[in-house]
Amino acid sequence: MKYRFAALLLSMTALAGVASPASAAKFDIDPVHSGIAFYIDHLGFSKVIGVAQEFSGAFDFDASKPDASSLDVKVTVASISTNNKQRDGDIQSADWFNATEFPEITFVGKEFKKTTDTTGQIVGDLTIAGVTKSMTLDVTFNKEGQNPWDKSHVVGFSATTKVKRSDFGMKAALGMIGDEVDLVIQVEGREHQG
Amino acid sequence: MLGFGNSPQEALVAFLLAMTLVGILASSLVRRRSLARLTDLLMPAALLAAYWLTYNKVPPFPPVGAINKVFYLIAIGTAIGFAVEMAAPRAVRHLALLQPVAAALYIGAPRLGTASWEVALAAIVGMAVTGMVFLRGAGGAEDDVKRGGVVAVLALGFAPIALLGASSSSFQLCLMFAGGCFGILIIHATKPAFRFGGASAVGALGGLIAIADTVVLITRKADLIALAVLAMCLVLPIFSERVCRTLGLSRPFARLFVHVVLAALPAAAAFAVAYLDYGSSFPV
Repeated sequence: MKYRFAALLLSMTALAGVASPASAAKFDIDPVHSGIAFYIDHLGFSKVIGVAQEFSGAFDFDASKPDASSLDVKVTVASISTNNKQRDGDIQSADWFNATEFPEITFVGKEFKKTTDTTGQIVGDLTIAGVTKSMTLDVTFNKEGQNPWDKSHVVGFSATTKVKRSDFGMKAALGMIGDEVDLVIQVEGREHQG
Repeated sequence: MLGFGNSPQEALVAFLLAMTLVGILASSLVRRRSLARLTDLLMPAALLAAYWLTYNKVPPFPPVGAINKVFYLIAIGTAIGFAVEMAAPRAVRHLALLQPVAAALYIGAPRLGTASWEVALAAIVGMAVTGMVFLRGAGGAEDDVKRGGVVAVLALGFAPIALLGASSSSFQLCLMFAGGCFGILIIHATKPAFRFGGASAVGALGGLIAIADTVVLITRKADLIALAVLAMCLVLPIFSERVCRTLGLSRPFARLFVHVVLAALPAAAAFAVAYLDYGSSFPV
Protein backbone atom coordinates (compact mmCIF):
# COMPACT_ATOMS: atom_id res chain seq x y z
CA MET A 1 0.00 0.00 0.00
CA LYS A 2 2.81 2.31 1.01
CA TYR A 3 4.61 1.65 -2.31
CA ARG A 4 1.43 2.19 -4.35
CA PHE A 5 0.82 5.60 -2.74
CA ALA A 6 4.42 6.64 -3.40
CA ALA A 7 4.16 5.58 -7.05
CA LEU A 8 0.91 7.52 -7.44
CA LEU A 9 2.45 10.62 -5.92
CA LEU A 10 5.46 10.29 -8.21
CA SER A 11 3.38 9.91 -11.35
CA MET A 12 1.19 12.88 -10.37
CA THR A 13 4.24 15.03 -9.89
CA ALA A 14 5.63 13.94 -13.26
CA LEU A 15 2.29 14.66 -14.95
CA ALA A 16 2.08 18.05 -13.36
CA GLY A 17 5.53 18.79 -14.73
CA VAL A 18 4.50 17.85 -18.24
CA ALA A 19 1.18 19.62 -18.09
CA SER A 20 2.45 22.98 -16.75
CA PRO A 21 3.29 25.61 -19.40
CA ALA A 22 7.00 26.13 -20.11
CA SER A 23 8.09 29.14 -18.06
CA ALA A 24 10.91 31.50 -19.01
CA ALA A 25 14.14 30.91 -17.14
CA LYS A 26 15.37 33.69 -14.91
CA PHE A 27 18.90 34.91 -15.63
CA ASP A 28 21.20 37.14 -13.63
CA ILE A 29 23.44 39.43 -15.63
CA ASP A 30 27.03 38.24 -15.27
CA PRO A 31 29.03 41.45 -14.83
CA VAL A 32 32.32 39.66 -15.52
CA HIS A 33 31.28 38.80 -19.06
CA SER A 34 28.98 41.72 -19.78
CA GLY A 35 29.72 45.31 -20.64
CA ILE A 36 28.10 48.67 -21.32
CA ALA A 37 30.03 51.14 -23.44
CA PHE A 38 29.04 54.46 -24.95
CA TYR A 39 30.48 56.67 -27.65
CA ILE A 40 30.03 60.43 -27.74
CA ASP A 41 31.26 62.90 -30.33
CA HIS A 42 33.99 65.36 -29.40
CA LEU A 43 33.99 68.39 -31.73
CA GLY A 44 33.56 66.05 -34.68
CA PHE A 45 37.16 64.88 -34.36
CA SER A 46 36.63 61.65 -32.48
CA LYS A 47 34.24 59.72 -30.35
CA VAL A 48 35.12 59.53 -26.69
CA ILE A 49 34.54 56.05 -25.28
CA GLY A 50 33.00 55.58 -21.89
CA VAL A 51 32.13 52.48 -19.93
CA ALA A 52 29.93 51.63 -16.99
CA GLN A 53 32.00 49.59 -14.60
CA GLU A 54 29.26 48.65 -12.14
CA PHE A 55 25.88 47.39 -13.17
CA SER A 56 23.50 44.64 -12.23
CA GLY A 57 20.26 43.19 -13.42
CA ALA A 58 18.19 40.21 -14.30
CA PHE A 59 15.98 39.03 -17.11
CA ASP A 60 13.50 36.30 -17.91
CA PHE A 61 14.01 34.62 -21.26
CA ASP A 62 12.58 31.71 -23.16
CA ALA A 63 13.83 31.36 -26.75
CA SER A 64 10.49 29.92 -27.82
CA LYS A 65 8.56 32.82 -26.33
CA PRO A 66 10.77 35.90 -26.48
CA ASP A 67 7.80 38.26 -26.22
CA ALA A 68 7.20 37.03 -22.66
CA SER A 69 10.64 38.16 -21.55
CA SER A 70 11.42 40.71 -18.88
CA LEU A 71 14.46 42.86 -18.24
CA ASP A 72 15.55 45.06 -15.36
CA VAL A 73 18.99 46.72 -15.30
CA LYS A 74 20.65 49.19 -12.93
CA VAL A 75 23.87 51.07 -13.64
CA THR A 76 25.83 52.80 -10.89
CA VAL A 77 26.46 56.36 -12.12
CA ALA A 78 29.59 56.74 -9.98
CA SER A 79 31.16 53.87 -11.91
CA ILE A 80 30.98 55.56 -15.31
CA SER A 81 34.47 56.04 -16.66
CA THR A 82 35.79 57.82 -19.75
CA ASN A 83 39.46 57.12 -19.06
CA ASN A 84 40.09 60.63 -17.69
CA LYS A 85 39.91 61.37 -13.98
CA GLN A 86 39.02 65.06 -14.35
CA ARG A 87 36.26 64.36 -16.88
CA ASP A 88 34.97 61.39 -14.90
CA GLY A 89 34.56 63.70 -11.90
CA ASP A 90 32.90 66.36 -14.04
CA ILE A 91 30.24 64.05 -15.50
CA GLN A 92 29.07 63.17 -12.00
CA SER A 93 28.13 66.83 -11.48
CA ALA A 94 24.67 68.39 -11.42
CA ASP A 95 25.14 69.53 -15.05
CA TRP A 96 25.47 65.94 -16.24
CA PHE A 97 24.46 62.70 -14.54
CA ASN A 98 23.90 64.36 -11.15
CA ALA A 99 25.15 61.31 -9.23
CA THR A 100 24.29 62.77 -5.83
CA GLU A 101 20.59 63.05 -6.57
CA PHE A 102 20.33 60.23 -9.08
CA PRO A 103 22.95 57.58 -8.24
CA GLU A 104 21.51 54.98 -10.63
CA ILE A 105 20.52 54.73 -14.26
CA THR A 106 17.78 52.18 -14.80
CA PHE A 107 16.27 50.40 -17.77
CA VAL A 108 13.10 48.38 -17.53
CA GLY A 109 12.00 46.40 -20.58
CA LYS A 110 8.32 46.75 -21.43
CA GLU A 111 7.89 45.19 -24.86
CA PHE A 112 9.90 42.41 -26.45
CA LYS A 113 9.62 41.92 -30.20
CA LYS A 114 11.25 39.22 -32.31
CA THR A 115 12.27 40.56 -35.73
CA THR A 116 14.22 37.58 -37.14
CA ASP A 117 15.39 34.26 -35.72
CA THR A 118 18.34 35.93 -34.06
CA THR A 119 17.31 39.58 -33.70
CA GLY A 120 14.70 41.52 -31.86
CA GLN A 121 13.83 44.79 -30.22
CA ILE A 122 13.28 45.70 -26.61
CA VAL A 123 11.24 48.79 -25.93
CA GLY A 124 11.64 49.99 -22.39
CA ASP A 125 11.89 52.89 -19.98
CA LEU A 126 15.34 54.38 -19.58
CA THR A 127 15.73 56.66 -16.56
CA ILE A 128 18.72 58.98 -16.37
CA ALA A 129 19.05 61.90 -13.93
CA GLY A 130 15.44 61.53 -12.86
CA VAL A 131 14.05 61.73 -16.40
CA THR A 132 12.35 58.67 -17.90
CA LYS A 133 12.13 58.23 -21.66
CA SER A 134 11.13 55.32 -23.84
CA MET A 135 14.08 53.71 -25.60
CA THR A 136 14.36 50.88 -28.11
CA LEU A 137 17.26 48.46 -27.96
CA ASP A 138 18.19 46.55 -31.12
CA VAL A 139 19.13 43.14 -29.81
CA THR A 140 20.99 40.23 -31.36
CA PHE A 141 20.60 36.84 -29.76
CA ASN A 142 24.07 35.28 -29.75
CA LYS A 143 23.88 31.89 -28.08
CA GLU A 144 22.18 29.88 -25.38
CA GLY A 145 23.69 26.77 -23.85
CA GLN A 146 25.85 25.29 -21.19
CA ASN A 147 29.03 27.00 -20.10
CA PRO A 148 31.59 24.17 -20.46
CA TRP A 149 33.59 25.60 -17.58
CA ASP A 150 31.08 25.44 -14.77
CA LYS A 151 28.10 23.77 -16.53
CA SER A 152 25.85 26.73 -15.83
CA HIS A 153 23.02 27.62 -18.21
CA VAL A 154 24.02 30.76 -20.07
CA VAL A 155 22.44 32.99 -22.69
CA GLY A 156 24.18 35.86 -24.47
CA PHE A 157 23.01 38.95 -26.34
CA SER A 158 24.47 42.00 -28.02
CA ALA A 159 22.50 45.23 -28.16
CA THR A 160 22.87 48.74 -29.55
CA THR A 161 20.88 51.94 -29.40
CA LYS A 162 21.21 55.69 -29.62
CA VAL A 163 20.02 58.15 -27.00
CA LYS A 164 19.97 61.93 -26.96
CA ARG A 165 21.46 63.26 -23.77
CA SER A 166 19.44 66.47 -24.13
CA ASP A 167 16.28 64.37 -23.73
CA PHE A 168 17.47 63.69 -20.19
CA GLY A 169 18.18 67.35 -19.44
CA MET A 170 21.92 67.10 -20.06
CA LYS A 171 22.51 70.15 -22.21
CA ALA A 172 25.95 71.21 -21.05
CA ALA A 173 28.46 71.95 -23.83
CA LEU A 174 26.03 70.89 -26.57
CA GLY A 175 27.93 72.71 -29.30
CA MET A 176 31.15 70.89 -28.50
CA ILE A 177 30.15 67.52 -27.17
CA GLY A 178 27.66 65.47 -29.18
CA ASP A 179 24.03 65.21 -28.23
CA GLU A 180 23.57 61.71 -29.61
CA VAL A 181 25.20 58.95 -27.62
CA ASP A 182 25.78 55.50 -29.12
CA LEU A 183 25.31 52.67 -26.64
CA VAL A 184 26.86 49.26 -27.16
CA ILE A 185 25.89 46.50 -24.76
CA GLN A 186 27.07 42.93 -24.36
CA VAL A 187 25.17 40.76 -21.93
CA GLU A 188 25.78 37.29 -20.65
CA GLY A 189 23.12 35.97 -18.34
CA ARG A 190 23.49 32.99 -16.06
CA GLU A 191 20.39 31.11 -15.03
CA HIS A 192 19.42 32.10 -11.56
CA GLN A 193 20.16 29.37 -9.02
CA GLY A 194 17.82 28.89 -6.07
CA MET B 1 24.88 77.23 -25.25
CA LEU B 2 23.61 78.29 -28.63
CA GLY B 3 26.14 77.66 -31.33
CA PHE B 4 27.72 80.80 -32.68
CA GLY B 5 31.25 82.13 -32.52
CA ASN B 6 34.26 80.27 -33.79
CA SER B 7 35.07 78.83 -30.38
CA PRO B 8 33.26 78.31 -27.10
CA GLN B 9 35.29 81.16 -25.63
CA GLU B 10 34.20 83.52 -28.40
CA ALA B 11 30.59 82.45 -28.01
CA LEU B 12 30.80 83.08 -24.27
CA VAL B 13 32.31 86.55 -24.79
CA ALA B 14 29.60 87.32 -27.37
CA PHE B 15 26.87 86.30 -24.89
CA LEU B 16 28.56 88.26 -22.13
CA LEU B 17 28.62 91.41 -24.28
CA ALA B 18 25.04 90.81 -25.39
CA MET B 19 23.91 90.46 -21.77
CA THR B 20 25.75 93.68 -20.82
CA LEU B 21 24.23 95.60 -23.74
CA VAL B 22 20.73 94.31 -23.06
CA GLY B 23 21.27 95.21 -19.39
CA ILE B 24 22.22 98.77 -20.36
CA LEU B 25 19.26 99.03 -22.72
CA ALA B 26 16.69 97.64 -20.29
CA SER B 27 18.02 99.71 -17.42
CA SER B 28 17.94 102.94 -19.49
CA LEU B 29 14.44 102.19 -20.69
CA VAL B 30 13.07 101.62 -17.21
CA ARG B 31 14.91 104.65 -15.88
CA ARG B 32 13.67 106.97 -18.66
CA ARG B 33 10.10 106.01 -18.06
CA SER B 34 10.55 106.75 -14.36
CA LEU B 35 9.61 103.23 -13.41
CA ALA B 36 12.08 103.14 -10.54
CA ARG B 37 10.16 100.42 -8.77
CA LEU B 38 10.59 98.11 -11.74
CA THR B 39 14.39 98.42 -11.58
CA ASP B 40 14.08 95.87 -8.78
CA LEU B 41 13.15 93.29 -11.42
CA LEU B 42 16.16 93.89 -13.66
CA MET B 43 18.74 91.76 -11.84
CA PRO B 44 16.48 88.71 -11.45
CA ALA B 45 15.51 89.12 -15.11
CA ALA B 46 19.22 89.10 -16.00
CA LEU B 47 19.67 85.88 -14.01
CA LEU B 48 16.71 84.21 -15.72
CA ALA B 49 17.99 85.33 -19.13
CA ALA B 50 21.46 83.98 -18.30
CA TYR B 51 19.86 80.70 -17.19
CA TRP B 52 17.95 80.40 -20.46
CA LEU B 53 21.03 81.21 -22.54
CA THR B 54 23.05 78.64 -20.62
CA TYR B 55 20.62 75.74 -20.54
CA ASN B 56 18.41 76.59 -23.55
CA LYS B 57 15.33 75.61 -21.64
CA VAL B 58 12.61 76.48 -19.23
CA PRO B 59 12.63 73.36 -17.05
CA PRO B 60 9.42 71.36 -16.69
CA PHE B 61 7.40 71.87 -13.54
CA PRO B 62 7.67 70.35 -11.00
CA PRO B 63 11.43 70.48 -11.46
CA VAL B 64 13.55 67.35 -11.15
CA GLY B 65 17.17 67.81 -10.13
CA ALA B 66 19.05 70.74 -8.64
CA ILE B 67 19.73 72.56 -11.93
CA ASN B 68 16.02 72.68 -12.74
CA LYS B 69 15.08 73.63 -9.18
CA VAL B 70 17.36 76.68 -9.45
CA PHE B 71 15.21 78.14 -12.25
CA TYR B 72 12.06 78.01 -10.14
CA LEU B 73 13.84 79.34 -7.07
CA ILE B 74 14.79 82.39 -9.15
CA ALA B 75 11.42 82.79 -10.89
CA ILE B 76 9.18 82.17 -7.89
CA GLY B 77 11.55 84.04 -5.57
CA THR B 78 11.38 87.07 -7.85
CA ALA B 79 7.59 87.01 -8.00
CA ILE B 80 7.19 86.57 -4.24
CA GLY B 81 9.93 89.10 -3.45
CA PHE B 82 8.35 91.71 -5.71
CA ALA B 83 4.85 91.08 -4.40
CA VAL B 84 5.94 91.28 -0.76
CA GLU B 85 7.92 94.45 -1.51
CA MET B 86 4.71 96.04 -2.80
CA ALA B 87 2.36 94.69 -0.15
CA ALA B 88 4.44 94.59 3.03
CA PRO B 89 7.88 96.17 2.54
CA ARG B 90 8.92 95.44 6.12
CA ALA B 91 8.48 91.71 5.62
CA VAL B 92 11.02 91.66 2.78
CA ARG B 93 13.94 91.49 5.22
CA HIS B 94 12.55 88.34 6.81
CA LEU B 95 11.72 86.84 3.45
CA ALA B 96 15.24 87.53 2.16
CA LEU B 97 16.72 85.78 5.19
CA LEU B 98 14.39 82.81 4.80
CA GLN B 99 15.25 82.28 1.14
CA PRO B 100 18.76 80.83 1.68
CA VAL B 101 17.33 78.37 4.23
CA ALA B 102 14.60 77.31 1.81
CA ALA B 103 17.13 77.07 -1.06
CA ALA B 104 19.55 74.95 0.97
CA LEU B 105 16.75 72.60 2.08
CA TYR B 106 15.22 72.36 -1.39
CA ILE B 107 18.47 71.92 -3.31
CA GLY B 108 20.13 69.87 -0.59
CA ALA B 109 17.13 67.60 0.09
CA PRO B 110 18.94 64.49 -1.24
CA ARG B 111 21.77 65.14 1.24
CA LEU B 112 19.49 65.42 4.27
CA GLY B 113 20.09 62.45 6.48
CA THR B 114 23.54 61.67 5.12
CA ALA B 115 25.05 65.15 5.38
CA SER B 116 22.45 67.28 7.13
CA TRP B 117 25.12 69.43 8.75
CA GLU B 118 26.38 70.46 5.28
CA VAL B 119 22.86 71.54 4.33
CA ALA B 120 22.53 73.42 7.63
CA LEU B 121 25.91 75.10 7.10
CA ALA B 122 24.92 76.11 3.56
CA ALA B 123 21.71 77.63 4.94
CA ILE B 124 23.59 79.59 7.61
CA VAL B 125 26.24 80.84 5.18
CA GLY B 126 23.50 81.81 2.72
CA MET B 127 21.72 83.76 5.43
CA ALA B 128 24.96 85.49 6.37
CA VAL B 129 25.59 86.45 2.73
CA THR B 130 22.07 87.85 2.39
CA GLY B 131 22.42 89.69 5.68
CA MET B 132 25.73 91.25 4.65
CA VAL B 133 24.50 92.29 1.20
CA PHE B 134 20.89 93.21 1.80
CA LEU B 135 20.48 94.17 5.42
CA ARG B 136 23.64 96.19 5.94
CA GLY B 137 24.06 99.83 5.02
CA ALA B 138 21.57 102.60 4.48
CA GLY B 139 18.56 102.62 2.23
CA GLY B 140 18.35 104.66 -0.94
CA ALA B 141 19.34 104.28 -4.55
CA GLU B 142 23.08 104.75 -4.10
CA ASP B 143 23.36 101.96 -1.55
CA ASP B 144 21.10 99.79 -3.69
CA VAL B 145 23.46 100.22 -6.64
CA LYS B 146 26.32 99.20 -4.34
CA ARG B 147 24.36 96.10 -3.28
CA GLY B 148 23.80 95.21 -6.90
CA GLY B 149 27.50 95.74 -7.59
CA VAL B 150 28.50 93.36 -4.80
CA VAL B 151 26.09 90.70 -6.13
CA ALA B 152 27.61 91.10 -9.61
CA VAL B 153 31.12 90.74 -8.17
CA LEU B 154 30.02 87.67 -6.18
CA ALA B 155 28.73 86.10 -9.40
CA LEU B 156 31.93 86.98 -11.21
CA GLY B 157 34.06 85.58 -8.37
CA PHE B 158 31.99 82.43 -8.06
CA ALA B 159 32.21 81.64 -11.80
CA PRO B 160 35.73 80.12 -11.77
CA ILE B 161 34.94 78.26 -8.53
CA ALA B 162 31.90 76.76 -10.28
CA LEU B 163 34.01 75.83 -13.28
CA LEU B 164 36.50 74.02 -11.09
CA GLY B 165 33.56 72.54 -9.21
CA ALA B 166 32.75 70.63 -12.42
CA SER B 167 29.99 72.97 -13.49
CA SER B 168 30.88 74.66 -16.76
CA SER B 169 27.22 75.64 -17.07
CA SER B 170 27.21 77.46 -13.72
CA PHE B 171 30.42 79.17 -14.86
CA GLN B 172 28.68 80.50 -17.98
CA LEU B 173 25.55 81.34 -16.03
CA CYS B 174 27.43 83.34 -13.39
CA LEU B 175 29.55 85.19 -15.96
CA MET B 176 26.55 86.14 -18.07
CA PHE B 177 24.59 87.19 -15.00
CA ALA B 178 27.51 89.36 -13.85
CA GLY B 179 27.72 90.92 -17.34
CA GLY B 180 24.01 91.70 -17.29
CA CYS B 181 24.27 93.20 -13.78
CA PHE B 182 27.16 95.48 -14.72
CA GLY B 183 25.15 96.65 -17.75
CA ILE B 184 22.11 97.36 -15.56
CA LEU B 185 24.09 99.15 -12.87
CA ILE B 186 26.37 101.29 -15.04
CA ILE B 187 23.33 103.39 -15.99
CA HIS B 188 22.90 104.24 -12.31
CA ALA B 189 26.55 104.94 -11.59
CA THR B 190 26.34 108.72 -11.71
CA LYS B 191 22.71 109.44 -10.87
CA PRO B 192 21.42 106.38 -9.03
CA ALA B 193 17.72 105.59 -9.38
CA PHE B 194 17.98 101.87 -8.78
CA ARG B 195 16.07 99.67 -6.38
CA PHE B 196 17.60 96.54 -4.87
CA GLY B 197 14.44 95.36 -3.15
CA GLY B 198 12.58 92.13 -2.56
CA ALA B 199 12.84 90.82 -6.13
CA SER B 200 16.59 91.46 -6.31
CA ALA B 201 17.27 90.08 -2.84
CA VAL B 202 15.12 86.95 -3.10
CA GLY B 203 15.25 86.33 -6.87
CA ALA B 204 18.74 87.45 -7.91
CA LEU B 205 20.87 87.15 -4.76
CA GLY B 206 18.83 84.16 -3.59
CA GLY B 207 19.16 82.59 -7.04
CA LEU B 208 22.92 83.04 -6.95
CA ILE B 209 22.99 81.39 -3.52
CA ALA B 210 20.93 78.49 -4.96
CA ILE B 211 23.49 78.09 -7.77
CA ALA B 212 26.25 77.96 -5.16
CA ASP B 213 24.21 75.41 -3.17
CA THR B 214 24.03 73.22 -6.28
CA VAL B 215 27.80 73.21 -6.72
CA VAL B 216 28.57 72.80 -3.01
CA LEU B 217 25.83 70.36 -1.94
CA ILE B 218 25.08 68.37 -5.08
CA THR B 219 28.21 68.36 -7.22
CA ARG B 220 30.35 68.53 -4.06
CA LYS B 221 33.47 69.75 -5.76
CA ALA B 222 33.76 73.22 -4.27
CA ASP B 223 37.11 74.73 -3.40
CA LEU B 224 36.36 75.75 0.18
CA ILE B 225 39.45 77.97 0.52
CA ALA B 226 38.52 79.91 -2.62
CA LEU B 227 34.96 80.22 -1.31
CA ALA B 228 36.22 81.55 2.02
CA VAL B 229 38.37 84.10 0.19
CA LEU B 230 35.39 85.06 -1.98
CA ALA B 231 33.37 85.69 1.17
CA MET B 232 35.69 88.63 1.84
CA CYS B 233 33.83 90.37 -1.01
CA LEU B 234 31.20 91.04 1.62
CA VAL B 235 33.61 92.31 4.25
CA LEU B 236 35.98 94.66 2.44
CA PRO B 237 33.25 96.98 1.06
CA ILE B 238 32.39 97.83 4.69
CA PHE B 239 35.47 100.02 4.59
CA SER B 240 34.54 101.79 1.35
CA GLU B 241 33.03 104.83 3.11
CA ARG B 242 36.18 105.25 5.19
CA VAL B 243 38.37 104.94 2.10
CA CYS B 244 36.23 107.49 0.26
CA ARG B 245 36.45 109.93 3.19
CA THR B 246 40.23 109.47 3.37
CA LEU B 247 40.58 110.07 -0.37
CA GLY B 248 38.05 112.91 -0.35
CA LEU B 249 35.74 111.20 -2.79
CA SER B 250 32.13 112.34 -2.58
CA ARG B 251 30.57 111.78 -6.02
CA PRO B 252 28.32 108.70 -6.35
CA PHE B 253 30.34 107.24 -9.22
CA ALA B 254 33.64 107.44 -7.32
CA ARG B 255 32.05 105.98 -4.17
CA LEU B 256 30.49 103.17 -6.17
CA PHE B 257 33.79 102.53 -7.93
CA VAL B 258 35.68 102.21 -4.62
CA HIS B 259 32.95 99.99 -3.21
CA VAL B 260 32.99 97.62 -6.19
CA VAL B 261 36.80 97.55 -6.40
CA LEU B 262 37.00 96.62 -2.70
CA ALA B 263 34.53 93.80 -3.39
CA ALA B 264 36.40 92.75 -6.52
CA LEU B 265 39.79 92.35 -4.80
CA PRO B 266 38.79 89.19 -2.88
CA ALA B 267 37.06 87.88 -6.02
CA ALA B 268 40.35 88.16 -7.89
CA ALA B 269 42.13 86.53 -4.95
CA ALA B 270 39.57 83.69 -4.95
CA PHE B 271 40.24 83.13 -8.64
CA ALA B 272 43.99 83.04 -7.93
CA VAL B 273 43.48 80.51 -5.11
CA ALA B 274 41.36 78.30 -7.36
CA TYR B 275 43.87 78.60 -10.17
CA LEU B 276 46.79 77.66 -7.91
CA ASP B 277 44.86 74.79 -6.35
CA TYR B 278 44.05 73.24 -9.69
CA GLY B 279 47.22 74.19 -11.53
CA SER B 280 47.59 72.58 -14.92
CA SER B 281 44.13 71.01 -14.79
CA PHE B 282 42.55 74.48 -14.90
CA PRO B 283 40.47 74.21 -18.07
CA VAL B 284 41.60 77.23 -20.08
